[in-house]
Amino acid sequence: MDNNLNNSRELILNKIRNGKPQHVALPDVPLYAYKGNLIEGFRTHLTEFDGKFQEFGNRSEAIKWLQSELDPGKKIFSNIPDFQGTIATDSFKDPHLAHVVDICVAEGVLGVAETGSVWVNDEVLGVSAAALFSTDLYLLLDRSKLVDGLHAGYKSLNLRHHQYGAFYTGPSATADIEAVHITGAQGEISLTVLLY
Amino acid sequence: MKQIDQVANGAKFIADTPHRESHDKCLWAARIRRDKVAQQIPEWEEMRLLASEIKKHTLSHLDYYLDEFEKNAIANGIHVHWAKDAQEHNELIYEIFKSHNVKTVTKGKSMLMDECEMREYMTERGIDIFEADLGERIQQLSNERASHIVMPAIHKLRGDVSRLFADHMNSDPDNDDPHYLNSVMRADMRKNYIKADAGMSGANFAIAETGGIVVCTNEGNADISANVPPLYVVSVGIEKLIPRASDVPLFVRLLSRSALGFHVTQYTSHYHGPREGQEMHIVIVDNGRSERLATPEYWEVLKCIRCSACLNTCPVYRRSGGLSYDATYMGPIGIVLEPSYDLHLYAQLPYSCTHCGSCGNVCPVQVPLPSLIFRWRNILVDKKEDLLVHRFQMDAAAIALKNEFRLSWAEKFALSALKNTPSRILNSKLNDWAVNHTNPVPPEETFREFYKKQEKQNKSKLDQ
Repeated sequence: MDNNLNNSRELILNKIRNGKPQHVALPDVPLYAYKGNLIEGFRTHLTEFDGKFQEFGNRSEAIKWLQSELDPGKKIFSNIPDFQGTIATDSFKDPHLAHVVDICVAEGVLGVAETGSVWVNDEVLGVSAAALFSTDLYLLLDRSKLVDGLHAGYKSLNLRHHQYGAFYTGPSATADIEAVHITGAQGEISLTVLLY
Repeated sequence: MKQIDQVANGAKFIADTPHRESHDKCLWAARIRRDKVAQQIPEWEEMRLLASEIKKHTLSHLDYYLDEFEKNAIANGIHVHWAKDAQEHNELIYEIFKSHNVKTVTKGKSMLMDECEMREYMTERGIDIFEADLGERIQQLSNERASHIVMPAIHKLRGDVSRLFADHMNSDPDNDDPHYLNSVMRADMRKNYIKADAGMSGANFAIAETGGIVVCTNEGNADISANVPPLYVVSVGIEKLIPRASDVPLFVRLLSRSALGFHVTQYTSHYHGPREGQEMHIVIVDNGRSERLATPEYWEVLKCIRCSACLNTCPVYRRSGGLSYDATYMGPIGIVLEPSYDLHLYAQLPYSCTHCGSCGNVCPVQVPLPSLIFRWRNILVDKKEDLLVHRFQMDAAAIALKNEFRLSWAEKFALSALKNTPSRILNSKLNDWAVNHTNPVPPEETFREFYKKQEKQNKSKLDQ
């Protein structure tokens, strides 16, 4: 089979070499910026996507808020050092098992004012499946990690450094039935960003 | 030989008023939202041009970028495969599944896998593929194709879905609240995710520079399918390549705004390798694309990023529904793509167009859809694949339009026919035009006669 596959590779590449159109120049992409206030823009767009927004003076206030808000009776997976969950972070060697998670807490890498998105990756999530299977996802975000637009966001990321990296923008949603917008499809049902 | 009759299929959908009205309303709302968000971005038109140029550049060096992508993906720990056509694509993935003893697969949306009829192929061989996107799952349970690229079941009403789910998932047939139906789907899919042996998805973009893929979705189903099972298989058409990581934001900013009128999708996810203990495979698929690339005046169709903006704006598509095209791709992009898969079968599709040009105006990567539609009509006439009745009409027009004398005679003949034919015949089914119109009240004279008279009068006025 490997031989066949190699043949297909050569076959496809040869067809392309023989038939491709004449050279077209590659333009540069400008860093188009979002012009508004960073925190205002971030909050507005996040809430447009049904995300919840909480702002704190500093990180320890945000942690205190988590301690008072989250129900310790729930299965909480936390991947931040200063807030203990109720499930050990090494519980899900097999990610299938993460389906039991009710609440997931993680640190956001950066936030985008243009869209209200938060970048997360396999490292900050610990177990990506825990965030996706959770009902309520809480992402902490340092306000100095806000950038204006998506162009600036991608510029500060090195995509190859992480196996999984994603902009999460509000909780999962669908509009597949009569285009009725439904918050909470198959991933997390609520997403709260704690900006500190 | 069989031909797809979009007009006849569409007529059935048009006759079904509740479905047609809901369909038209949902898609037009997406188009209006698209205009609104596009107008908020001063550089929008500049972005469309840039996106088009980047795609054109990539296609003009596609061999180089595919090679670079492959090299980098392998360095990221991804297994890369090449499939020349749909059959090889399916065989190859089946081999991967067989060697991993895969029984249950959850799958995100992929137009390419639909194109390859991958799901049917696996199902016949005893592998359960669960479409994990709500719309796609509705279509799977209905044994229907997707009727829209990003909203596969948008032609259905909530009542259709509640009956379908009641039949397959034991839900309440009398509860047609979309929120309830969504929760039924969520609960049902959880059972499948928990036992999934493999996950699958398509990709919106493949980045040559980094050897990774970008998947843009809303429901979280593709991310679960990628992040939970020990095996993740992705199919990528050769035209999905973009050169650099810095190109991604440009396309991401255009994609969802064009598709549904939202700034981004809820999940804009990037995969650059398997997680620990996982295997990741990417299948690079040609299936006719390299031939399109080699066809002058047609290759730019490969710029398409499958956003659906052209569907949402098309007056024919919005009223006749996606299933009327009886093809993987529908609407303007469908009538431009499908004849390249099977010219005879889809010969009538390029005629399902009013030439309003709107698709070309909204396309985020400036695919010249209107001229590509016109191009197919030329080819179809040259290859005598157009309808016989069209040929008679064109032959008659050729006779009448040959010179001024013949045209003026034809005008007189037409006016006399309009005046003298009994309305019973004129407004009968023999006259296609009269099906939804009444014929006009015939004027006294032809325009040419009227014009000549006016000219004579003016001249005599000047002479006085």
